[in-house]
Amino acid sequence: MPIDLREHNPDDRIDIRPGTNKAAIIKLLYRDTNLAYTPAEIQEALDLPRGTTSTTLSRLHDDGMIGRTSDGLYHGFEHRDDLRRFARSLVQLDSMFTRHPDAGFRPNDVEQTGTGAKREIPRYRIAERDVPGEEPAPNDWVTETDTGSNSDGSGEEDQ
Amino acid sequence: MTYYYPQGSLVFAADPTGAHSNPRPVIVISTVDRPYVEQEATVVCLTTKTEYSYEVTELPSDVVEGLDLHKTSYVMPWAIYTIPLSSIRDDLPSGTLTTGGLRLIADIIDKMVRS
Repeated sequence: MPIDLREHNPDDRIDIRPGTNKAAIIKLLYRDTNLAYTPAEIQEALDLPRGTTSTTLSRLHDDGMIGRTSDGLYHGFEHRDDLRRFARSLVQLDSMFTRHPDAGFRPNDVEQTGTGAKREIPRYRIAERDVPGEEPAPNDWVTETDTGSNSDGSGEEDQ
Repeated sequence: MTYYYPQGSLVFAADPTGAHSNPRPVIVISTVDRPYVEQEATVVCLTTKTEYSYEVTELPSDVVEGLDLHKTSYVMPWAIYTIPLSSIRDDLPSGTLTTGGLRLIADIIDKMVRS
């Protein structure tokens, strides 16, 4: 089916569900886009079945989400800020569930009495795309004026 | 539809690994003007437990609209995360904090930062 380019934006949200094999591979390969992995390494790192690993890698590659070197190594793309961001949010999601696994109440402990919170994004926000900018390197950003941070709690200047 | 959850939404986020069976309740603290609003949300976690070494603050049930909380809930201001929008389960109940509820969340986080 043709896609209306007036509505299409390649920066649209990533349609990968957390917890899927695709999400796990994106999370691994976008942790550091300078690193490339063989399918066997990916399979071992993520504990996936062999057939599943190669099929999922092929699909992600065909969709342009990951790269493959001429000698068969898979990697994330440095220019795909959207996927790098998605991978980072998956890491945070994992942290949230690992550190705080049980909230003590479940969906059954609440009762829906209204229409729900989900809303459509206003058109003005869709039109205004966020353009990621480069942050300066640490040495260009700050100049150290002391011996280091007051991690020992000895900093009394602001008290 | 390109959707998001407005600031003050009380929603359940799903565990992607399946290691934990219960979806976790969280409150969205980011606004529609947040970068990448169509992909992510910044949330603060809720709990029913108080036995943390850090202070938790009760979220009164009357500051939530569209949802009845059947258990006393507390805000964990140190548990703030940016999570994928797709981890928020739209097939589970969700509600919205009142203006007073949002102010309470702001005060709780403010207190943590200033302490």
